[in-house]
Amino acid sequence: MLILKTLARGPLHGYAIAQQIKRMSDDVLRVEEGSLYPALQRMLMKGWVKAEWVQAGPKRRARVYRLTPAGRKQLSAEVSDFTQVMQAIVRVIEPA
Amino acid sequence: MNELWRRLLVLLRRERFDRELEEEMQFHLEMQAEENRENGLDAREARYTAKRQFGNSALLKETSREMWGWSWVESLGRDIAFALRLVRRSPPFAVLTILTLAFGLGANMAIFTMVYHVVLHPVRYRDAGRLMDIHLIMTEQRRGTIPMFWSYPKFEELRRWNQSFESVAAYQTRDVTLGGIDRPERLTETIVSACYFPTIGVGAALGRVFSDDEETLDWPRPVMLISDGLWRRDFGADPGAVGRTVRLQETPFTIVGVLPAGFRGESGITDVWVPMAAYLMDNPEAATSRNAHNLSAIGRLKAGVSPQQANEEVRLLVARMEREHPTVFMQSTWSGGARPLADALVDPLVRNALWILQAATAALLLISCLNLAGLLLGRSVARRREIAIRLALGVNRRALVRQLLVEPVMLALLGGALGLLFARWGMAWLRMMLPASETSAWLTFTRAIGPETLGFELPLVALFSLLSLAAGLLFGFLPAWRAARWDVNEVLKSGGATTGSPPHLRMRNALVVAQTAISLVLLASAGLMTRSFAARLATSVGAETRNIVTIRLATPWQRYGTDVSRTFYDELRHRAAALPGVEAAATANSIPLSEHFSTMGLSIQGKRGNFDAGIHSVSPDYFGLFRIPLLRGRLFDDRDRAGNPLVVLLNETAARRFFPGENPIGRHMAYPQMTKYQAEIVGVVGDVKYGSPEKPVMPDVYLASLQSGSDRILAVRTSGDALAIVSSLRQQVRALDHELPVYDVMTMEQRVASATWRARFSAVLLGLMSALALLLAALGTYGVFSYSVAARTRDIGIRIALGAGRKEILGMILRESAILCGVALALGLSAALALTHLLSSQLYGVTATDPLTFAAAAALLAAVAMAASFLPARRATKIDPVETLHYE
Repeated sequence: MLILKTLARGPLHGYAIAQQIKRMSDDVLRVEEGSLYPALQRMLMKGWVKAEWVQAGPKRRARVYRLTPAGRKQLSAEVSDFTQVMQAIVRVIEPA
Repeated sequence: MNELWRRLLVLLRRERFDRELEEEMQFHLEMQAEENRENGLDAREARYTAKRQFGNSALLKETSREMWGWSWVESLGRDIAFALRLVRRSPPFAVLTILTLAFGLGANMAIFTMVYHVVLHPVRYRDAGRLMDIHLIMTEQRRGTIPMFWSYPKFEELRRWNQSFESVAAYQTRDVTLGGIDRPERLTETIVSACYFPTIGVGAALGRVFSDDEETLDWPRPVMLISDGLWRRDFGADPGAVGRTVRLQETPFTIVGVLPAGFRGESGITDVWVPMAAYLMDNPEAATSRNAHNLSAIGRLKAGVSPQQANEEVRLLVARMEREHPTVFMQSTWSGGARPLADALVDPLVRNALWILQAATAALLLISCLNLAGLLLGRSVARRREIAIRLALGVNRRALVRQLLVEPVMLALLGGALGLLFARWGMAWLRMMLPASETSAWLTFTRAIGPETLGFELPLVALFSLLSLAAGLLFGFLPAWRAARWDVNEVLKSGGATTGSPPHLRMRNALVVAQTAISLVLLASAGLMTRSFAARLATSVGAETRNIVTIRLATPWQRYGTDVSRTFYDELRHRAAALPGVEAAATANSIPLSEHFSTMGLSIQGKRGNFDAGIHSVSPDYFGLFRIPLLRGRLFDDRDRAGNPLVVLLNETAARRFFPGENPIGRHMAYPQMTKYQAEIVGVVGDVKYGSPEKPVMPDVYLASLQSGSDRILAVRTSGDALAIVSSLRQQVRALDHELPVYDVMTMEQRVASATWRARFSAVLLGLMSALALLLAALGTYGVFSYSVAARTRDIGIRIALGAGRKEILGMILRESAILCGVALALGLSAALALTHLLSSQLYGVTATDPLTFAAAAALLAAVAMAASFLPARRATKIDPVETLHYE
């Protein structure tokens, strides 16, 4: 969900996505590469993101991911699910 | 859908995806290294730190690749490659497994195909489940309750009054001669209502089927339909056959259609169909006679009507018919019913026999799987260290089980493929053992099993592949599951050596016991069936069966009146007797082991009531030819011809039953058409079996050929091979009448074989299967004891070193074998006692729990098992204690 949200702001390559999440959460959430790339591949298969190669220097390229409409739908679905769960947990924790 | 497409793309462009992933990760690493440099690390440390931060890139790539969803394919591929390497390392095991399974699976496939075509799915018509066989039921004191045919008036009432069927059709089958083609041929013909073909849902492949107006008596011209087989055989598959006129029983008929290939009617052997009008023309009084019961009836249920409802309705309809016009016939009561067509077409005895064989074949497959499971357990022990190391390296147990299963499943599938080939051969062999479908003058109530009915169908092959897979899983599961539960430490510590009881020994013993017990059940069954078959063969026919050949002639009534017929057959008999090599020739209208006319309602002068008997017309030399003994009085001779007083002979059973304690010679009897007691009994002859040899002999009355004129069969006994004379016989027939077809050419030995085909079929197949089971049991026992001895080498070596003699060691092993054997026999005997009663419908001359058979089977099995364990036992005695201790 976090990856999708990050991409909602604009296309990024893998490294940048990881940095972005780290920054936005004030270093609380750190996406391990071990889970980032598998997740990106899964999202590629599911059709939630699209990838293309972009020149990133004289002799190298970067793979940039962008959100698809299907991805956007998936994102809003995941966000609403998460919010529901959050609210339920809050209700339970809240002093009576 | 799109997702599937994307995943497929990965499969096709695998290399590119791998490269791109690699490149992407490389990029990430470099970015990370750059950031590290910006944070103050030098170039080399920056890269090193980046790599460390990145983590295990191999694992990362692996996990990413898993997302593509094809990793299971790859691991399966690796497992298969590994299994293939294992197989190549020990070909004997693989070959043994594949062959064993090929036999087991192939046998099941062949038998099940027969079961499918003959029992489960005998009717291939459109929506066959809605077709019912509608019949009358007659209950009569002496004959019990039997299904009966319809008469035309009754059938008409059924058709008019019924509410359950959307259409009802009648049919009757008989033999006719087809003339007007190159060579006249004797065929089976079915007479059908006009709505017969629409009812069963079969249409013409060429031309048309009958139209409604072709059922009535004033039909424009006689039309007929022919089968595809006949069309190819006698008309050269010429489309111009439609419209040709040929002759059936001397009457011209025009062919209006050819039916689809493989369709041969309910009888299974019909080649020609004519409309109901043909029947009514031949028998004008049949249209109105309520007591002429000749027709079968088929109905297609209306939508929404259940078979039970239809059955009930028919019962009520027939009750109404009986109320309005009671059927007067030998003090019988009449009822009616309807049952599914498939039930009516399958001989229940054949159905039973096939199910029994199927069960036996399945048991054989089970035994094979048990055997292989034992072998596999043995092999997995040998691989213990390798497996333990793998577990230690982190393979998860589920993956291990899957890996261990690949080998047996692969072998099973290979065995299955080979089994398909075996099954094809097996089917060809089975077909040879089936009775030749004869054209006989009599209706077969059940359909003949023709070669067209046994073919491989796609659904069967698919089912069979599943079976192979299941077999592989079955025999591979146990070893794999046990292997995965091993305690890794234990195995690695002991270094693969064995202490105490070898692993899996109890399980292997259990497998062998199970195997042996099932083999005992098979052996006992085979024994019972073989004894039944032998008893049937030994049942005396009452007549000579060697070197005798019989031929039937279809002398048409239009050209052969009674006088002409008498002269013809007499002349033929003389000519045949004059041929070289012929010892005796006779004519008759029935011969031993074949169907015959019978009559009810004989009356005997001086006795009250009616008598049933078989009626046979024979020439004087008939009894000499078949060596039937004369018990009293005289046989027929030249005196007994037309114009002279009528004479009859009785068989022993008739004499005993009609004249208990009296002398029948000189008494007089009459048959139903006669007005006075005109026939004098002049002799009594020995009993002969007509019909099935298992049934008891019925009373028989013989008439003299020259007085009855109803002979149709020529019988000839030769000094040498009887079949050699057939072409000369055909020549003689042709010399007398060149248009007369000769058919049903069989030797008496062939008839005996035909009469006992079911018993022979079952006995041979069961015998074969028990022989295989015995072999497998021997192999299994040998295997388990070999293993046990090899695994306990150290123990035995120690014993010998401590002073145990050879005989003691031998005795120890043999005792163990005897215990296993004893348990297996006990289990097997109880199972056999419980199950063999299922065979009772097939047994003859022996009970289902015959002690002699059971004892013999048990003794044979015990002997084989003990012998199989003897070799390993002897090997145990040869163990050199010095060597084994040295090896430690």
